[in-house]
Amino acid sequence: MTLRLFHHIRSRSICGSQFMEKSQTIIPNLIAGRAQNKGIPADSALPAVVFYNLSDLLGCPIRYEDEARPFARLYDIGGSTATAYPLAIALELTPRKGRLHTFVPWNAVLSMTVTETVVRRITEPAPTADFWARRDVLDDQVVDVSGAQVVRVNDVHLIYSDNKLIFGHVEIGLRGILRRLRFEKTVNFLTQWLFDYTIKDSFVTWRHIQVMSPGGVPGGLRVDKLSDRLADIHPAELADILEQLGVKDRQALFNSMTVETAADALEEVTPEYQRTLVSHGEPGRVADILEEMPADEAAEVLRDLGPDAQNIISRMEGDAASEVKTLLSHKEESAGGVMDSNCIEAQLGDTVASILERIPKLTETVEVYNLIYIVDENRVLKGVLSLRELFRASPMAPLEGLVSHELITVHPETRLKDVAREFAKYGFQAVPVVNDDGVLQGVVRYDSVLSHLADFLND
Amino acid sequence: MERLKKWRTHLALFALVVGPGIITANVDNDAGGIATYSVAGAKYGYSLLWVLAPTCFLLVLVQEMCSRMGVVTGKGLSALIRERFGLGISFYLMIALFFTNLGNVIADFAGLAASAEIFGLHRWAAVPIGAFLLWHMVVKGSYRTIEKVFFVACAFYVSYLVSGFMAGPDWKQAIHGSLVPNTTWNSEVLYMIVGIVGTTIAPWMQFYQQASVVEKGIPLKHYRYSQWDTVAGAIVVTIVCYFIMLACAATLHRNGIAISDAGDAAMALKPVAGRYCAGLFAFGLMSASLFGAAILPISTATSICEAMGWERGVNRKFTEAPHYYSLYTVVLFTGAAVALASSKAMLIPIMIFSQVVNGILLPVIIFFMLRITSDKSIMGAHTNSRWFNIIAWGGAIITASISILMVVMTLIQ
Repeated sequence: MTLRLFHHIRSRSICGSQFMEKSQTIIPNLIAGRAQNKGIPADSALPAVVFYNLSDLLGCPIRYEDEARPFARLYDIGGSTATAYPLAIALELTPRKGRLHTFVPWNAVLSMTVTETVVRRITEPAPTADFWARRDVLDDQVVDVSGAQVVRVNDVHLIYSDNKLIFGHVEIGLRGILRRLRFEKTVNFLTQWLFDYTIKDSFVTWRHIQVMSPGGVPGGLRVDKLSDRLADIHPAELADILEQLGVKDRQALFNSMTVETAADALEEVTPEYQRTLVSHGEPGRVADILEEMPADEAAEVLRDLGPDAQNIISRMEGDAASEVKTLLSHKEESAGGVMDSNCIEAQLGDTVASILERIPKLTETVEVYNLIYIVDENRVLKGVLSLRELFRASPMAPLEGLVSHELITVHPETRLKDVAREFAKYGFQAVPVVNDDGVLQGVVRYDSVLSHLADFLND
Repeated sequence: MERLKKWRTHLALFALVVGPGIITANVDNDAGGIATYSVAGAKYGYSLLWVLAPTCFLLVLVQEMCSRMGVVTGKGLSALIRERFGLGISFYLMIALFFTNLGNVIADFAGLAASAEIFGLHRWAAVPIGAFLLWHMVVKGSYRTIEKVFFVACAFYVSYLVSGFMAGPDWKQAIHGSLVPNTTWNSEVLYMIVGIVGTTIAPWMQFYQQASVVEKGIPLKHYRYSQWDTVAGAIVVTIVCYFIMLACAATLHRNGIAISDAGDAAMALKPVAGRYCAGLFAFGLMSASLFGAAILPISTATSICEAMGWERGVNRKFTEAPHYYSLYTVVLFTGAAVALASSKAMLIPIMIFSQVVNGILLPVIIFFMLRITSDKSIMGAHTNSRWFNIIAWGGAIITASISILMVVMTLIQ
């Protein structure tokens, strides 16, 4: 039985093999030795490796070594995250008499099987576990960092060897559900017989999971215990993860992100979740995050917030705050509501060299840096110039010959649908916004129109 | 001036959270509900109107807990049940929910067929077209558009108010019947009352409302407005029930016409209350049926996927959430097919089965809800207060015993 399970896991895809590789360091030589001797004799000197499902262990009787009758049943197993694959360090027991659960440190355990666990009498108190398998993992949501998704845990796989219990994988597939419901054999027989198909396990190795509510406390996530790999996840995927978590876990994860990552992720989540994340956040931090976002996106977040927006705007930096306020003063579905007031402006008297010199510094704040807008002293838009033209021109050439005076502009009140038509017609990357007097107000970027239109797109 | 400003703030915040409560409550008046209220009005006239106020109270009690759980935890009811009570219980609960919801969907398509025929549209045209339109809307649409459509659909219930007035009720008797429980008690009346409470508080509603509260991302500090939403929904639904019963009481009961479902009611109204009153009634039935047939399959798929840990959500594509869309499609089209293929006589045992499952499921779910809402590790500071708990347990026991009574009585009959 042991061996069969073991080969089963070995032959499995990436998760399995990565796991094996890691376990070799945990249980030195054991696995390698085992793998070579496929037909191991029963009296082998090597300690046995046994795989347990958490669901099979829970509820099993526990007895003292000197008593035949069990005194309790296993309720939960506590682990320590000090190693990549956590070790069990404590057991929680339901006593036969009374309702109060008791705790036993792992070093009291003499042997563990699915039929009974034998413990020594010990006075030492159980150590505080970093997480509890039943309370925090089984049936709960955890983040699968490698797949960048939130998964619900159907079972936990544990490795018992040399009287140590190691957390190996979580099972997230249908097979785990079927096993716990005790339908595995029936369903397997049916699918084999009908389609010659066996339902596969799907595992995630423990190294790739992030337990979300350690200690049974939703949102009890500790930043220092957070998986480093979480930082490598693309913001769009982080957004997806945030959307699937409960309120407290979501907020804890959001709070653990750097301001930059949080800004990127916030941009990607749906407006409904933007609203909860922002309303539950500390206003000062939220203001910092919004400053980090493009102003039009920030304005959109604030627009959905209703009366609470004011409190956050007041904590934003002067420039960012006034920019957001301008955007909010226009209608949502208009050019003025989404425009970006940061663009590169120049005057006809400037030289090619002086503009080229300014651009690198501006790229930090300006998104549209490949179009230069030529204005007069009253900021009335006179023409537009592309970066390409600038590169091609000789440094001392007069601007007049390079600038295109055929301007396509929109008004702040122009509806986004009409702006989109302009984009479709002319293929710009950005279109300038001018008021009734022709004064440049900002530019509407192609991507901000696109993200608005995406709401109307169906597949 | 200051006060006006404050009210405007309140209204603005309310506008942000409104929806889940009102939509859920309105779907509650689906074909099955309308049938029950019509029969009650036709059979007992004004004498059962008083049942509606306490029912409304119970509805608020139960639904408030759901939206509170949704706002505080950000998780659906089935996810919370899975986390708190484990896989086994959730699995069997979901099977029961699947069948009772399927029963409701069948009733809705049967209602659609009946109302379409009143307008001269053949059922073999109306049901497939309706089913396909709903399917298309959900599979190809996004949640925001769908919510808007649903919100507009709520407005169609006004047609019942109008038909209630057009029926020309005897207001003096109506008010008397609403305030004084002046009923001759016998087992049939009891069965009727149990039926009214049972159709008004149905298990799918708890799952649906909580899921939509979660989906809407209502922040905890605006929870108060979500409560308004729940209360508003319950009141609106009660008013609609009231006028349905009123319309039937004023016409059918007075003329001694017996009916057995909502389609009958609309037909029977024609000679006694006029073409327009009957037309409005049938129109209300049609929109209610479509509304119910749209929401119930979504709710079923969402609840089951959440409990099993599968990808879900209207905002995802078919390939991203295959379990979700398969479940949705199966419930929708099975419901439509059964409703089309069965005669009225064949539908009766199906409905009885669905009601029995409904009746067994509801007390179980309410019990779980009370356990979860009293659990500090889940609800934090938002657990039920002591007084709330006393009232809630009382209400829950009443609701539960009513559902069990309904099961027993259904089985005896």
